[in-house]
Amino acid sequence: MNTMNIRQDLRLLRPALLLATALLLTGALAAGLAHLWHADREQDHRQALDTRRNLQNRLARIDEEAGEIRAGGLLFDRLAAKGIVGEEQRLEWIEQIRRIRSERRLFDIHWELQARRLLEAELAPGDGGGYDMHASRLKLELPLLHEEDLLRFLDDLKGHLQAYVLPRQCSIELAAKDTGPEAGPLPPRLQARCELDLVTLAPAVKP
Amino acid sequence: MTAKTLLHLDANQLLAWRWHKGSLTLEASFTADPAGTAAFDAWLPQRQHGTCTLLADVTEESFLAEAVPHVGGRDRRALLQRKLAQAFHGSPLALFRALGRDKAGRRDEHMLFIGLPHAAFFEPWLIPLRTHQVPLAGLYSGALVADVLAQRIPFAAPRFLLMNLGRAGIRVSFFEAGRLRFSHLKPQTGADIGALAVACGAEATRICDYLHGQRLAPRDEALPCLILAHPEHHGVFATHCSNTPELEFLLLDLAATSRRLGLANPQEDSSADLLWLQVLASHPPREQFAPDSARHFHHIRLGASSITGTAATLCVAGMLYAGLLSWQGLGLAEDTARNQAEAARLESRYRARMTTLPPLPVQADKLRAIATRYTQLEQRTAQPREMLTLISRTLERFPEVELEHVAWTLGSLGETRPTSATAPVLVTAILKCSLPAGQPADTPEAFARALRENDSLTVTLLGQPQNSGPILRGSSDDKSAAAPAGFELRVGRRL
Repeated sequence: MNTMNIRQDLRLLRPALLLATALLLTGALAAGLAHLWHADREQDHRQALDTRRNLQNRLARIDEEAGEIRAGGLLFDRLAAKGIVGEEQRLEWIEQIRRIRSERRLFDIHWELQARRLLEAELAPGDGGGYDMHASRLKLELPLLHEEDLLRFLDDLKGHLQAYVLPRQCSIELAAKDTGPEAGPLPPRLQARCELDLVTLAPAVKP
Repeated sequence: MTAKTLLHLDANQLLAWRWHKGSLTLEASFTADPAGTAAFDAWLPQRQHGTCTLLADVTEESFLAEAVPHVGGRDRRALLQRKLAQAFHGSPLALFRALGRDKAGRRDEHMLFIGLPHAAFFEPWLIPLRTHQVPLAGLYSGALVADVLAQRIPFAAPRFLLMNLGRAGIRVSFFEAGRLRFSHLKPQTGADIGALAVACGAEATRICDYLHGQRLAPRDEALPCLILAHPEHHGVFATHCSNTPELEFLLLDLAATSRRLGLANPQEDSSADLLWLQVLASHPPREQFAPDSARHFHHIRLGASSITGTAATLCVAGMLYAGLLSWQGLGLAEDTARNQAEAARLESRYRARMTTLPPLPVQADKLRAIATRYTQLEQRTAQPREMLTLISRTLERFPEVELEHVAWTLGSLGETRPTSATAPVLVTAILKCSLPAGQPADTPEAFARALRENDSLTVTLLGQPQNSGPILRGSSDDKSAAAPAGFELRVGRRL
């Protein structure tokens, strides 16, 4: 069979080939579109089923959840009342430190309050519910007569400061013996150094 | 069932019939001469698309029964082709059929070779078909159609003759064991049924004598001879075709047979031409005479049909698959709607329940997140008091140990924060202690053991007293002997 005959035969077969192509394309198109449509329905179905199951689960533990929410509300109110929620009260903090020092009759306290930053996520993981945790580092140097003075001072800070007091490090060592006239009748026996984070909660600022 | 064009060719003319669902319509007729073939050539392009089938009703048809050695494969094909060429003078219009093998000896194969030796007679009709690319399904003879018909009439005998009348003449076909052995066409003109009946009787007697001479039929038993005739002519045939000891004439109702085999046209006389065409259209014989070259366009047509058939099958499969998926998808959509409605109902119940809660400062979800995070913060941090109190209590049991320096850190040594959100948080204290001179060397270890009594603490002794060793001696004035010893401890607690 020469090339001419092959060409002639192909010409005769052309309508059949065109029809076959159209049929195959039609079948493939129908199958493909149906497949896509079916995949969409499956996704919708999965989504609806998940939503329903989630709601069923939430309803099943609604009493527990309501308890959690009530507890959360109480906690939030407590934090707000204590001043942990809201803007930092830096001047108030300093005033409180002075007040505690005076009440506890402590020696002079040297302090340094650093700028506010976001608290490391490792210490309080999780979504903050639209609230960020901020921390301001407070560095303290306290001469002490007794180590208990430091612990009481920290307890007072925790109890009265309008922030969550988060000690990061504290050291106590024997104070250098000062026999000068300014040492007073009862000179400090210990020297403490502490770094604390004063943590507050404030609504997150959207970038 | 699509329409077919049936070309009925005899020695004098070619009739073109259109067959559709058992109904035959004469479309054209052409004389068997150059003018007729020219008219056929001009008519072919006008005909509707479809397949042509050629029925040759000619006297020049040869039958040769022969036993050949049984071989297989290419050798068999070559052997049989050689036999065909020898038997029919090289005519390409020839075929063979196997009749069976001997049961003993070389087990030769009995073959029946059938051919149309005068191929030149057909060429003027085949050439226009090729020229106009008309698909030719096959070239059949009246004998081959008679073979098909014989298998469909309610008659059985070891040997019998089947006679039929037609435009071309009287055809007598001999069957043995239900298979065609040979067929003969006697040209007969004239419409007088009496003369035809007489000719039938004479032809049957002549063929019977021939069969006896060839020992193809035994002389001692009557050979049945079936005559296909219109019922109105049965009386004429009964009159002129008398039974003899060698021949037994049996009349078959041509009209009833035609109806039974699906012919829609009324059978008006004893000509069986329409029945032959009906059998050819509805039950074409397996074998045919035309070579592949003459059927080229038929093969193309078959190929095209296969291609479109396969594509249509795949298309239908695709549609069925699409239908199945759509059906499943509709089911899913219904189920989704049910789930969504149920979810809406649950959501409504949930919201109604939540409205019973006191007013919240922030949304419930946010509140939960804030509380969770704050709780995390409380759990992952600690105050120095707890650890320092434990250390202090232990120190009270070791008055000889003097604590010179304590460093408390949230995190492990050198780390003031946990390494990741999931890593456990540690608090660590480094204690630097001193011992007055002369204390037992195991005092630091004893002190560490005492601290370890608190299960929550891990204690590591980092340094031993510098003056541990043999006995020290000296006086109160000897400053070097009274130098205090120091050691370090690391105390850790996991939150």
